[in-house]
Amino acid sequence: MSENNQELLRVEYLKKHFKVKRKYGAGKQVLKAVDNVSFTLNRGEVLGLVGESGCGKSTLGRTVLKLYDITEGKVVFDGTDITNYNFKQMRNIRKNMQMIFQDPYASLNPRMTIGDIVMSPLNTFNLGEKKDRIDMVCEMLKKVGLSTEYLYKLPHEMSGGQRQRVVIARAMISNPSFVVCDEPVSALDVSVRAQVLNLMKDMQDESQVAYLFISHDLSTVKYVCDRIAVMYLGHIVEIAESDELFKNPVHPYTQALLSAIPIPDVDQKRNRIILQGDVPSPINPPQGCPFKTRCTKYCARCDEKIPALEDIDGNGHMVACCNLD
Amino acid sequence: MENSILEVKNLKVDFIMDGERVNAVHEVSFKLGKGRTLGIVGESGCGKSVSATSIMRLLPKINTIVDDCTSIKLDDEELTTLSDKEFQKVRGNRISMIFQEPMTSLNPVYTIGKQLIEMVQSHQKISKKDAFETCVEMLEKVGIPEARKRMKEYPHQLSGGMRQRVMIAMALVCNPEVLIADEPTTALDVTIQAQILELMNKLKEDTKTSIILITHDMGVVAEVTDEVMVMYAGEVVEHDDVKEIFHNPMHPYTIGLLDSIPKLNQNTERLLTIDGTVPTLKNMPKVGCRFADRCHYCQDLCRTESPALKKVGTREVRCHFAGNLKAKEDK
Repeated sequence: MSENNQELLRVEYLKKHFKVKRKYGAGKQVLKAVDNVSFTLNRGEVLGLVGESGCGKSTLGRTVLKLYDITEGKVVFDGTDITNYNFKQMRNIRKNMQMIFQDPYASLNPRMTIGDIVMSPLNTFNLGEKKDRIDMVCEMLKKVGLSTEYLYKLPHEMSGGQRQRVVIARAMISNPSFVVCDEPVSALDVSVRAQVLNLMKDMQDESQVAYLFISHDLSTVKYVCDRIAVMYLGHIVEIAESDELFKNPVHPYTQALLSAIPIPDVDQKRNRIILQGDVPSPINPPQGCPFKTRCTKYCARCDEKIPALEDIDGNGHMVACCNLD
Repeated sequence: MENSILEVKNLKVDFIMDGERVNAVHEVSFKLGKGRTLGIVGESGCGKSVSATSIMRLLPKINTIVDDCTSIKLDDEELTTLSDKEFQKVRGNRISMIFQEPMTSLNPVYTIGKQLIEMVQSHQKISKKDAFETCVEMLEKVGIPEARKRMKEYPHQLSGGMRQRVMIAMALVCNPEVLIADEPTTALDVTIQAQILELMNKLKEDTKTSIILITHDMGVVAEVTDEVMVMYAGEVVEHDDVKEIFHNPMHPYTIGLLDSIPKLNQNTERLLTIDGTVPTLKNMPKVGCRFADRCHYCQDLCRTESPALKKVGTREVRCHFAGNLKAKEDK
């Protein structure tokens, strides 16, 4: 973890609602993908964002980068409020905020050579002298573990792990201070996954970039992240230091999520909390606490209002649950 | 293992790709005991799904060659010599399969009920009414609420977890002796995965069906299976009791695989990795060990001679140096 605890990103009461067509009949419904989410991210920190599919974690990542318009709320990046920035203003900032996508097969232009792909941020943001750029690309490729012979190759000549290395190189070459990593390893094989995770960790150690690391795999998140936020149905239900969260999960959903992961250990038999049912649709979320339909500690209080995040130990372990004793 | 229900010997599958004959599965042999669960693990392209689908005879005939010396015995009955028509009586009835994608393996234009009833009626002489009741019962068994109503619904009306339950119901409705589950939980969320795994464990105890579970998730293997077969590049590299494998992996690939997953219950400073990637079917090393290029312990012998599957106690392992790898670690 970095000693420099300066705030890099602050998100306040962020909402992202999508209007979706009704199946039958006229009119539109509102899908609340992200609802009232607040968190901060410090320089050089890795914040994990976990949750099941459809809980809004990817939407949150993209909204923070302003790839989606913000419905309500505030995003402050590096001291400047970027909530109402337009496309042109965003472009100046984008070299400091980059993204690594999930599917390395879909996120590289099949007609561009690897060299061109990695160089494109340099051209877009006008970084470095023109004649130096190719050297910068070579250096970057070396950093991500690819030899310079890949410069003139096309994406289809490479394996998934190598492509993901290219995606990382492209995100890192403009020397950003903040990178959103949207499930960067879930499309990769187990043995390759470890290589890419190690690479991302090395890059982070070296350049002190801050990651917003989105993943559904808690063991991966534990390996890379300093702090972890757990999302459910568009809300952050718990946020804590990584070790603290695993040692002392407080929210019933976090507890269930942790107990649901199969552990590769044959001696350990755990008491598993099996959640009943499925995640409700974000178009018709339950009244009150979003988790109440599957919660084991459901009571009348849960119907009343959506619980807010509260600091429970004075150390930044925040939980949103009305049944805290 | 005296009572084996399924015995596969020398399974060898070749594909024809661009006019070239490439080997996808090489000499896979195993016995599945009655009521046991065998896990097959490996990375994508290691031949685990191909092995399973070739047992089910679901591979396209046009570009697949299953070697003649292959023998697949179900309860001492040879399956490879059956004609396609005879095999249809086995497929779905005595051996059935659950596929990875519950979204695509159900037919979207027929109701759940129609698909389930078709399954029952094609294997049993039974009236439609009785078949309907059997199916409702089965749906209830796999934990689908309001089963009677669900029978009239279409796949798109169900969630992913529910669809996978329907797939399991469909696979088990004829009381098969062997169930092949090909990555049954990979497409599902963790909390749903936990539900499905619990369900499969429960059904196994109730019906005494033997299961072949194909997965790449070591966690799932540790929780559900009795024995594990690790595959790499079309070959079985290690096969033993699940506890033995996790406590004492012998093949360098298994060791690497276990080291490269982040553990929840301990703090890992740095993950150990296996260098390189799985060779593609066309680039498979022709001589020597198929894992040699990625192996930390590789010696000259590994490049020239393919290791055979050795027996060490109950363990089967395909490595020249299994058991005394440690000495060469500093190399």
